[in-house]
Amino acid sequence: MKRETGLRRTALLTGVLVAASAVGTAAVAAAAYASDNSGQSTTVTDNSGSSSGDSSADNSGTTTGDSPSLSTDSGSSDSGSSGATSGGS
Amino acid sequence: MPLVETLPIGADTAQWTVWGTVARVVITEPSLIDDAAALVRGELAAIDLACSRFRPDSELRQASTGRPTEINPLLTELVAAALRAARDTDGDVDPTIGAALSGLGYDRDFAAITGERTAPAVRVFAAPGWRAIRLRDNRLTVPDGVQLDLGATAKAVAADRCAALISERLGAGAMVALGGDIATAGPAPDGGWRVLVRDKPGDPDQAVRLPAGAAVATSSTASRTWGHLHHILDPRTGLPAPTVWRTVSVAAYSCLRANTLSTAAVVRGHRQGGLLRGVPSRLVTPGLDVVRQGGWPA
Repeated sequence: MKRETGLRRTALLTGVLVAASAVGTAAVAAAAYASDNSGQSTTVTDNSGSSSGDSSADNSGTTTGDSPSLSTDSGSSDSGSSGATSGGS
Repeated sequence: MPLVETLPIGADTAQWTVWGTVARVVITEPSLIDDAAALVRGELAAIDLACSRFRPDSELRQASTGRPTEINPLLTELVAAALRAARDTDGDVDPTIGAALSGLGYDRDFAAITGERTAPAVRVFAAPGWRAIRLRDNRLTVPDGVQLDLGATAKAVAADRCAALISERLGAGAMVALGGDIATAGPAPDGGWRVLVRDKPGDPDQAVRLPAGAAVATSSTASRTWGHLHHILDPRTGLPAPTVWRTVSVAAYSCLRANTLSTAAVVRGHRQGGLLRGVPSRLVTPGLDVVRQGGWPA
């Protein structure tokens, strides 16, 4: 009789410990998830009017997939424009 | 050594030094060049007051309190641009490198350290990471100990804003160059805007034409150097990025986008392939070999 009571108590204690462990694990996971989400909550304001989550938009409001077409300068001065240099700042 | 501008200054051009480099304005209506230059000077002064990390009275310095702080629309735009560049490059262009730059000796206006042959005592800090910064509408939170450096993107945004400002206010086409960062707005001259792409005198150069509204940015590991250091840091190490590329030039439809990509390409080095796929770009190796891709003209 005493032995059966002891076994029941041991089983009950084990169950309580397992449940407590599961609750603790869930709490840690929830905290980690919340922490991870907080790192992504930066609001980026884009004055171009595009949505902040649109990584394909730039400040000009032009999609970045739309690249300009450059041409070689023939060296003639027909445009009369002085031009500028793009080099290391 | 900052950019050396060797192109002539015509009637359509104004040029002066600012931020340790050269500002140059070219306009399609030469009679308006003085007005255009005045607009640019005013805009650059406003941007400097908003976000300089060297001025104790700058709004950015004043707002770096560790607590949410309300900031003006101009600084909001500049910080947002920096965070967007960080997000788009997975952190290769990171505005939280301020302390790392200061630790390497770049702790004042670059004009004051130009020509220093020996770097001062070096302290290396990896960047805290751009995700530490909070910008919600016009409320900025910079955690204690984090020093923002908007230099990589603010100069490009400045070029974009100045070119647009001239076009809107004066009704003329404009090209604004701030060191390696060039933006255009409004109508272009016949044949397009003329741009000489060249890092330093003696380097391989190429003259190209930009269509209206286009921009180009050049990032370099050979310019803006002091001692044996250059100014483009890998945020993950807090040290100058390895010199896989001497110079990277990128064309886009905004100078911010062009500068973001050219800077990230320098940081990524051999890993830049996917970043610049389909983007007009010109890369120069340390041995001065030139690689053109994405439709950059031969």
